[in-house]
Amino acid sequence: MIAVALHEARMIGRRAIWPAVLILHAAATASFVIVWGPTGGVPLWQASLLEQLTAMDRLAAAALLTWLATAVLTDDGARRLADWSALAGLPTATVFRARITALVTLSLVFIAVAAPAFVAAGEISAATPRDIARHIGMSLGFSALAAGVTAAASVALRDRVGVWCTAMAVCLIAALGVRMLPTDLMRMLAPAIAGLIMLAAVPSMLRSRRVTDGD
Amino acid sequence: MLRVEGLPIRAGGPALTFDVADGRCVGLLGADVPALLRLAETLAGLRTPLVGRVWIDGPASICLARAAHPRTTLGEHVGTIGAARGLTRSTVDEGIARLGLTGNMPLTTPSARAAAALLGALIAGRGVLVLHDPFANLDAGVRAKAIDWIRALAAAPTSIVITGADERDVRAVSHSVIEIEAGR
Repeated sequence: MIAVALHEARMIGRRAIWPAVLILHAAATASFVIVWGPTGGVPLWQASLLEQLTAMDRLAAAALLTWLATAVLTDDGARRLADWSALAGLPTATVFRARITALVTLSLVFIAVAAPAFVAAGEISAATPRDIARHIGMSLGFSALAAGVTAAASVALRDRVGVWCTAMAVCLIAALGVRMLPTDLMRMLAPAIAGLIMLAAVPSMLRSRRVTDGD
Repeated sequence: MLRVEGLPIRAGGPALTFDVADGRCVGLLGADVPALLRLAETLAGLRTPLVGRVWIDGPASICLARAAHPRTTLGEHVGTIGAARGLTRSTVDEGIARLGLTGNMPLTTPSARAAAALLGALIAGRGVLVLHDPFANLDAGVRAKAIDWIRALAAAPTSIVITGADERDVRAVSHSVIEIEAGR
């Protein structure tokens, strides 16, 4: 499985979407610190800049990592999995697990590009290195969750938009459920976003079911 | 050993029944290439037959050009297959050299992808080997070396099925040929 996981990581890393996701993530986190760093954070948001950045980063992961995972996992549908299963002489489930392993491993890089922004936000917030490392670790865990959730959605749904919307909604709900979004503002915004995303996913889910029934 | 019983090449078409013993190569020759590809996929276990049965004794491998991606190199593609099948890197490198190719060749051309697909099947070549249109797009030199390799495999305990529309290609390596269109 390791050989196939390495191959999948290589294939994902060579897609145009991969540097795009990394650049967007680095730009979003750096911009947040540059814009709100001088004022110590977003006004009316009772949290340190580091906590605000961590919350914002989860929204970025929920959108960008699920986008990447959707593009990768739904590419060529199940046929490519079956092809590699035949070529490698492995069960399809093993090839699928290898692909998820590659995605989760690459989420390390996704978080790594935001590390400078975390460090800068931590210094502005006078946080200890341990606190900064804890926030980065939590972001990493959330990124792995986003990859896993998208993988699960790609098994249940075939439609690319449906997979992405559903994965985003589940990630946001998960973030709310474990109180990862610390301010009242974000708590008000996140359910509304999750509701909208789920509504957007319903037609895709229905279309996917029709396709499945028709097979 | 491969055994096929009552497997139609297409819905309503003639059903195929044949055996491929170890050390034999059977060619399936026909003009309907998409149907032959589906048949090859079924023989390799990629598809479940709706009608008829396929018995495969041992591991199966298939030559699939569509799985060779332009973003990879020949060495990466074949190396992944080799590693997943428990082959050493030196075995893979020997295979690449046997076809007169180099591992850093990018799979950006149909010829390179065809070579990667064929090589991926040949290095795994034991048990049942299913080759669909294996020489299409191949350079003449690579084609000649691949034919020698397939003939050598056919002398080993490997059951080989080759499908395609090019009579010259199919007959080049087959011990016996089934002409699909004639229903024989």
